[in-house]
Amino acid sequence: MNRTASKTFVLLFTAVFFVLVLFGCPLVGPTQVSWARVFQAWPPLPGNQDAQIFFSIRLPRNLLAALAGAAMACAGIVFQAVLRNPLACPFTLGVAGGSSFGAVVAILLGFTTLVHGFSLVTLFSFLGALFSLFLVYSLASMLRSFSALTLLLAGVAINYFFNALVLLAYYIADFTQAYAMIHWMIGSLDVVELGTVVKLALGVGAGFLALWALARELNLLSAGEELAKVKGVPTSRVIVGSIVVASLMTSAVVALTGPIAFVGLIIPHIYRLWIGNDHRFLLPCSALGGGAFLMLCDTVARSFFGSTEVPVGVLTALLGVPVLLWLLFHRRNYLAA
Amino acid sequence: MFLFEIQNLSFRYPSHCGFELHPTTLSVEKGGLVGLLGPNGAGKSTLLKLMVGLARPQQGRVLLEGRPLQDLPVRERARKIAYVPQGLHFTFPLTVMEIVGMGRHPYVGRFQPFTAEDRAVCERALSLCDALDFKGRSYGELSGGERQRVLLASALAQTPRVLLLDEPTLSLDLSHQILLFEIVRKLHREEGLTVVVATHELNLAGRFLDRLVLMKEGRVFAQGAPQKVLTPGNIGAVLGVAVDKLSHKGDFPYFVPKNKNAVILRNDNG
Repeated sequence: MNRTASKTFVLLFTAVFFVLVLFGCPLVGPTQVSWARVFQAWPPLPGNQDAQIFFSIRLPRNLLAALAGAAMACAGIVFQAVLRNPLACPFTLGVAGGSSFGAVVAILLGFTTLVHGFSLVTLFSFLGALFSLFLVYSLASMLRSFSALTLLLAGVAINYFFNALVLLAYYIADFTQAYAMIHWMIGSLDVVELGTVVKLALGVGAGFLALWALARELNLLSAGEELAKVKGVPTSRVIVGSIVVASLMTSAVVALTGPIAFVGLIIPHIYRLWIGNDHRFLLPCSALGGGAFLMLCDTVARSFFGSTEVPVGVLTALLGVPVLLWLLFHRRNYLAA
Repeated sequence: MFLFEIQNLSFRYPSHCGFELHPTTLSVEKGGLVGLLGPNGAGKSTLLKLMVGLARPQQGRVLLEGRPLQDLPVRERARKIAYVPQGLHFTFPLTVMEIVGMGRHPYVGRFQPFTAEDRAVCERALSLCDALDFKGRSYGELSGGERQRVLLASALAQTPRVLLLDEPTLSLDLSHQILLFEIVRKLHREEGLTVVVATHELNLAGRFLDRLVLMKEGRVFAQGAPQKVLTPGNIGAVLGVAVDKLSHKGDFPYFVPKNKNAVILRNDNG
């Protein structure tokens, strides 16, 4: 009982933190924006520059960060649970390789047109991710095994394969293209239209609800596949279902932001250390925590480096590693499981 | 009335080499307390896995209360059969209550929290296994004997009709081995559970179990009451060890190796 109460507390705390970060971060930046001036009048007057920066530039980008962080943290939780591997992250099954390959091809061919508000780089990257998933799934079906090890090995193999193709494309690309490729692969957030964010939010939200509905099954699967099966979990269906949903969420986000490293690895561990292994709480906590973490990283990336902007993928690792190490040193029994 | 009927069951691992379960027919009566004995690789664990549906037989079938096992949805199966595998360890840290609570999975609705009844069943399962004292602890901190009792309690929380145990006394010291067999005996007597135990402990099996099935190389070699099955001849033929039978305070047969060079037979396919 007591434990449940403390899990609820962590969830509430994270939710409040998320909301503060969501509306606080857009105030920070090279141009200072004040809360009072943004909400001077409602709806904002046409000449209100603060409101313009807040609502049409920084808030959509912040929302994109929130969605990307939430989706990757959730996917990380799911991959770690299903593969029973603490090193698993949303990219373990080859999504990063596939989406990078798609993006790199679009950059190499010089595609710049927009389709339904999405750039061709985004669409190609999404298709690349789907293709890599399809390959992993086909390999596993050919081997008639959806066990953790099969999926892991198939994913790693596919990822290496696509990474080799990405390197080849990088090698034959010209200077500007190569720069665009690297920039994409580090992962960064750009200003987006609110419409794009809303579309992404619908997809990520639906995916989250589907995964949350499987929380109990994930608890059992993370303890062991045979154990889950004898306790009444239809394991193959849950494994394939949750992996497909988590991968689609990841692919959709990565297509817009590039493969931002580390969020999907570190946020799940922070919450596993904090509240234990109950996925009913881990999933919402990680979603909110991952979102808040990426919003903070992006704010630092775009605000504190003068006129240049650092790709957020660099900062997630730089800021995330000390947090994870601090937690490990303070909760050593986590390692001695 | 038979609870389990194993009809002409055969199984081979996909690699097509090594171990094979030859067509086996076996039945377990309701309320039975059955031991599976035999050397490593005789097919004890495989048989248990086939009985709980973790492995799919190439031929034959398993009937549970007259119904083919594969016709039962996994959830319903988990309400009837509980299985404790050997040597379980977890990647992520879990508490004792979380592990025991997993036993309620086949009863709890998707979005429902545990009811008072679910919690009562878990507490009772823990107390039946003498594990109530460490219910608040983390599984990783427990000793081997305590872990085994927690896993047993998690199985009991399923309120099953039948309990399948795969070498539950593996790596336990003598006192914990006896304790575990006493708990199993108590569950059988007081809860009316049907129990099937795969074990290497000839002497404890002879003392605590009602019926023994002796297996060798994927076949049933002998079955029946302990006194009938556990003979120096059978043990020599199945385990390849020459033993002396000692009688100890009444009917329980005890076996000790004859001498230092008691290994008499080599397993050809070993």
